[in-house]
Amino acid sequence: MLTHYDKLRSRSAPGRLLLMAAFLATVVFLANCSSDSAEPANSASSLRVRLLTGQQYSNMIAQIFGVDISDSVAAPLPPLTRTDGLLASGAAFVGVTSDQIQQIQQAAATVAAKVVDETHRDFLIPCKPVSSSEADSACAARFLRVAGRLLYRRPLHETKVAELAAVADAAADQAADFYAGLAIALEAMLIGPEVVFIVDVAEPDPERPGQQRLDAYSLASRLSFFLWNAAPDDELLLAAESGELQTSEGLRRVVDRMLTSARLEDGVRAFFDDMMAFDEFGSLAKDPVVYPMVTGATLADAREQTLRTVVDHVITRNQDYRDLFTTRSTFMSMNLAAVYGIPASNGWIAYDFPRDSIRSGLLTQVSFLAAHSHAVRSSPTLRGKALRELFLCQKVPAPPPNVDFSLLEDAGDLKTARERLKIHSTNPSCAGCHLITDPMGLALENFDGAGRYRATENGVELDISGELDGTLYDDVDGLATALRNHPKLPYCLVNRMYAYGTGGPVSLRYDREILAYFLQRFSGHGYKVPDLLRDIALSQAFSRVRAAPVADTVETQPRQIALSQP
Amino acid sequence: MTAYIGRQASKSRWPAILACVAVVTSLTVRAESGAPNAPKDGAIGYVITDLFWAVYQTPDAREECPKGFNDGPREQFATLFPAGEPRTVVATQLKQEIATWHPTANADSFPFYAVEGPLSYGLNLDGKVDPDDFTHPNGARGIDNEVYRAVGCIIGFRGPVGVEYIFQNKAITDRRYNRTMIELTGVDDLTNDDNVTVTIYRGLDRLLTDATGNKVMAGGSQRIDTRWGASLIQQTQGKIVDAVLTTEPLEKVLIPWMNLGVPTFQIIRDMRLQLTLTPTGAEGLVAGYADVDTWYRQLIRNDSSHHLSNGQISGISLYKALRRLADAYPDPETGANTAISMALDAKFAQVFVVHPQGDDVVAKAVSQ
Repeated sequence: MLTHYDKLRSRSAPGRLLLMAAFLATVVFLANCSSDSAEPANSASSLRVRLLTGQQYSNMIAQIFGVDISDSVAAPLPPLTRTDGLLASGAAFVGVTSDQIQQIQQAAATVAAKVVDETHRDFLIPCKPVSSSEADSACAARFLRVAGRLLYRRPLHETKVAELAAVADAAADQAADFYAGLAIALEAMLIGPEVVFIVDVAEPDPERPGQQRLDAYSLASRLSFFLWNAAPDDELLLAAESGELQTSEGLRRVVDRMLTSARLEDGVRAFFDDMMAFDEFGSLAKDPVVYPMVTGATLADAREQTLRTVVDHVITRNQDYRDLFTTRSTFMSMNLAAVYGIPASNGWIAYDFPRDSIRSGLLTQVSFLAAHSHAVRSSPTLRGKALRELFLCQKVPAPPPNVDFSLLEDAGDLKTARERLKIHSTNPSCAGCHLITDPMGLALENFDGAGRYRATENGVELDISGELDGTLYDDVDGLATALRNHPKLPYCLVNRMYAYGTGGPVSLRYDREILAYFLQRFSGHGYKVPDLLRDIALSQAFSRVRAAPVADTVETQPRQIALSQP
Repeated sequence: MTAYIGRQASKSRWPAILACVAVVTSLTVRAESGAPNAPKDGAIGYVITDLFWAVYQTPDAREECPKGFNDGPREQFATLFPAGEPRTVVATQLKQEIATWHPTANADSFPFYAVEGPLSYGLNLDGKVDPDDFTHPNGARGIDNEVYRAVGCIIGFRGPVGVEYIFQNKAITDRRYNRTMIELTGVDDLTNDDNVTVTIYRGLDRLLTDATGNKVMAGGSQRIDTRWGASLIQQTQGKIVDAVLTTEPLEKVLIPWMNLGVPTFQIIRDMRLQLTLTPTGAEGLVAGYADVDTWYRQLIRNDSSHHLSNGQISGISLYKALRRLADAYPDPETGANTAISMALDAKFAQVFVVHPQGDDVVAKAVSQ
């Protein structure tokens, strides 16, 4: 049988030449970079105000007041719009409606009530009132000062503390209950925009006269949400207060501590969950008639499996990021094992697919295969589109509004997706996009819409050969290796991680050089993610503030967006 | 009719068999490669999903129950204690409860309608064709199933709405104490193989189901209970002919049972399996001789008077029938039979049997 691979091989000499040219250009580019490993002199990032994500809100409450209190309330933050590949980037372009503020207020009331209840007050409130039925300004101020510093992610000005203590006193007098009064003041703090938004504050940069940098507390927050997906802890705030964070040595020590903290796993999970668009699992469902063994629990495990694989690979084992796409090492649960057709013990266990298994890399995990399929069948197009957009940072245009699906829907006796998708190649308006998605997706056709293996489709043997940007392959391993070696793969990670860390999409106008710098170092370090995290966190670009276009802003000293300092 | 004393499973091949058993057995049809119908590593597991007393039923029960169905506790109570007469709880309800929990074989005043039809599901357990044996609907003669004779005309034992029929299955999917499974090893061909090893285990895990939680799916995993379930591990030999597995009898098997959250068990002597096998499941019969007192104890422990009443199951009358119809294992002193022939309709789903502690533990359990 003449496979699609054979056909491509026979006709794609120009493609191979293009690939070779691209490869040489990359080599020259990297060679140039390696001769100049210093960070671009004018690198800087934008000053932003970002809404907390739901997970960040929950983490913040959990780390300040405890997991049980965090678990007792649903994070009240609205869903975000994916922007340039990341929900986190969308957080910089979202406001809150009055309805959402009401939800934030309700969550705040619940949290506050829990903090002061008899179960928690003795270890969350650092003092006891003189009388529990009367106001106690000193005790209220003491609690509000401590909690406020962690919630606002910077010390509260004493006038703010006094203002909140007065709220607590007035409410305590009214209710004849110190703790009820304190809950009102805490609730007031929790609905503060400084709490639910991450507000960058700039200050003059002493090393660059006329330029600005993040102030120490903003830098602490940026580091913390980047590496831990949570608010700064006490030690990080102390480093900001002491000025240590604004020194090279101090910053290095702080970042190294954060990178060796157990919280790093939370941060890495959050990043990859966002990058791989796993929020879609919240609404993902499979037809129970077609895929009866795939339940909500199965899909939740699929998401968890990939995140565990990623964390184990890039953090625990500190392996080459690119090898995620060819690794056979993963973790298995009983729910998932049924989909993979293998046995499993209870709980999550480390699992290595055998060398002769068709499963290798993230593309062959149920999370990718099921998430990028239809409810009742696989979709080479959706899978190819996801591969390009999620891992190569390429944009596949949406179908034209006048696309005629009838030809595809009336495909008659065509047995395989490859045969059906050929219909698109006869329509010029379809062919352009399908040519850049379908060849990759068709290589995954040995997996049905739930990610289960199948040797045939409708009784017909599957041709899974194809091409990824000039690299020909004839099986899934070939696709995995082609993706693993694709020059855009590490570039895309650098792009997304820098955007994630600095709180908004990268700018092709301003960030080209800094991304090249990070990519060169990422490559030099063997594509190790912790090194990339460290490079970004320690970079000048991370902490320096790019001057806003004159037309967009009026400079003030210090410069700050939207909100007053607490 | 005498009891068939089953041969002990041959143990001479055990070390060789163990060597073949992988730490984890796999699906008959290899998951992602390999020849169809060839069990990977020669092993395949099945877990019980459905288990009912085999009851042959005809429309309106005219054939097997020409006199109708038996009365249950409510009907008998109404006869014994007519309305309007002075009575106490102790003299009425509690008296019946005591009689239910401490039954005797002595005759009472109520008629008992045993099955009168000639047909029954089940197996020829004793190798004989006696005049009072049933005939299988497929024509096989000498079928021994006296439990059917006892329960076939009791509504609660008849499908699909009998109380026993409904609750037994629900307990299998809801609970784990009663997670019985078998593992076939040394299988060269799932269609025809003249010698396979069949090991019975209790599993530890919930069943893999679809999103409704009701339909059990093939492809789940089950860990062997080698701790509390070690005494349940048994092994026998069998052969597969035209995809039907028939095992040699096991002398005495304890089957964990459960209903309404109450753990019980059945003791089955000379127990054997006759199952039609597929890569995704098995279906057929579990047959042997049930210990009468254990059989009855399982019934009343797993069913309250409420359930017995709904199923028109008079435990008092049924026990007398069971003792009367018992056909095996006579008591050495009294001569009265202590066991009764029976058959259970069983369905299994393919499952990966996981041996978390390796095969030595299993070998030890089997040897004991």
